[in-house]
Amino acid sequence: MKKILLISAAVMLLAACHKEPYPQDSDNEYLVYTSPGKDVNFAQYQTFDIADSLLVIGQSDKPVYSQSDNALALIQAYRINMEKRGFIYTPSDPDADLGIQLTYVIKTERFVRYYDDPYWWLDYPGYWPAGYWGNWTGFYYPRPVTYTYTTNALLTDIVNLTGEVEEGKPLEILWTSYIGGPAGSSLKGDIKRMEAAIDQAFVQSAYLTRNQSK
Amino acid sequence: MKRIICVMLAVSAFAFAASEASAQMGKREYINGGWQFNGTVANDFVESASGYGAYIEGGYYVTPMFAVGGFASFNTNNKYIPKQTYVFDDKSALTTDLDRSLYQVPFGVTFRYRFLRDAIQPYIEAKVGSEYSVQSTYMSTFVSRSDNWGFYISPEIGMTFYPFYKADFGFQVAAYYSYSSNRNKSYDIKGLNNVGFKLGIAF
Repeated sequence: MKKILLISAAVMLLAACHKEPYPQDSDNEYLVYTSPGKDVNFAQYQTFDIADSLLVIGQSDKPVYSQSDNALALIQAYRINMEKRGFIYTPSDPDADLGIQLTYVIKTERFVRYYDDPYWWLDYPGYWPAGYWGNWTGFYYPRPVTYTYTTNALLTDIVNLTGEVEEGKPLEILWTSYIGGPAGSSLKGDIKRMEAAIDQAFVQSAYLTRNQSK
Repeated sequence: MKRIICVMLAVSAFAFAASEASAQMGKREYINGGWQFNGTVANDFVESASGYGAYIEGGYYVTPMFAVGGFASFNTNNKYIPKQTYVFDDKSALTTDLDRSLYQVPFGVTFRYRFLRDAIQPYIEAKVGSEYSVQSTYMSTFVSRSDNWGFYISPEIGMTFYPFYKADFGFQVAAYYSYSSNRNKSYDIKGLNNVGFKLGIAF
């Protein structure tokens, strides 16, 4: 019976031993996903406008619209790529053919884990002895260890502004992109990575052009 | 000359330990467990060799040379795919690097035949059972995961070695091939082939 229990425990232990890849093994670049609408021909559109603000979700209780330097840098990256593809930027033009809206999402995940001895530094040679503060025999932390990591993402939609406006008719999204991944150590670095990812979004969307031959 | 004497002493000690240990071979049950190094073969999803594995098995000698028992083991084989752009039928596209992970947990029954009942026990073994497998693809902050079951079979050749006097403790070394019938349409997996070796302790 003892051996059966031993083997059973070992089997359960084996089943819990999946080795996950380390996050630091990745190339630290954002994932870029793009998707066009069905049968969209971008050659029929000529002008575009970009919302003058970046919608930011996750930094406060309510969504906010940002016109910070970082927000404007992302907007500018889209403008440059669209112009390279032959579209004409017409800011605040109600007759623009295409509209571009950008949304920045920041999200922090928290994991709480319990370990037998998570506070390894308490045993580190030379660490403050509890006796320094009086007749104490050691330390304990009343909380478990908490890990956090933050992800951010840039969502972009290109909408069709040439359709007829009708009551209850939704706005057609012609192209959408998701750029996202773990946040880096600085927002400035993240914005640089996002600008490169925006370029990649256009590279992998060759159909997003006014030039029919592409 | 000194080296020769040392070698002779070592061999003598080995032979002594082996002969003494052979007195302990009356025990019918055994338990082996330890580290397992596994390589996937002909596997387009993950082809890699990895030491993220372990095993445990136990059995009972129903005759002096033939044992029936059970086993369980696990292995993870990971493969990193550098950044690529994947274009799908609807013209959507995905650019990312990714990690693929193949996790295998076979378990079932063993049939072992040992050739000697001595301190050194070479053996052949057949393992038959089921395999639970998980195939995962990690992309940035996303993971795509699917699992499946299959029939498992594995021939193995190895030996256990009990060098210590009056102690039911020894070592095991073995090499194996395994096949399981797990399938995954998404990753075009039609069976999982593995080769590997294991190093462990024996009771």
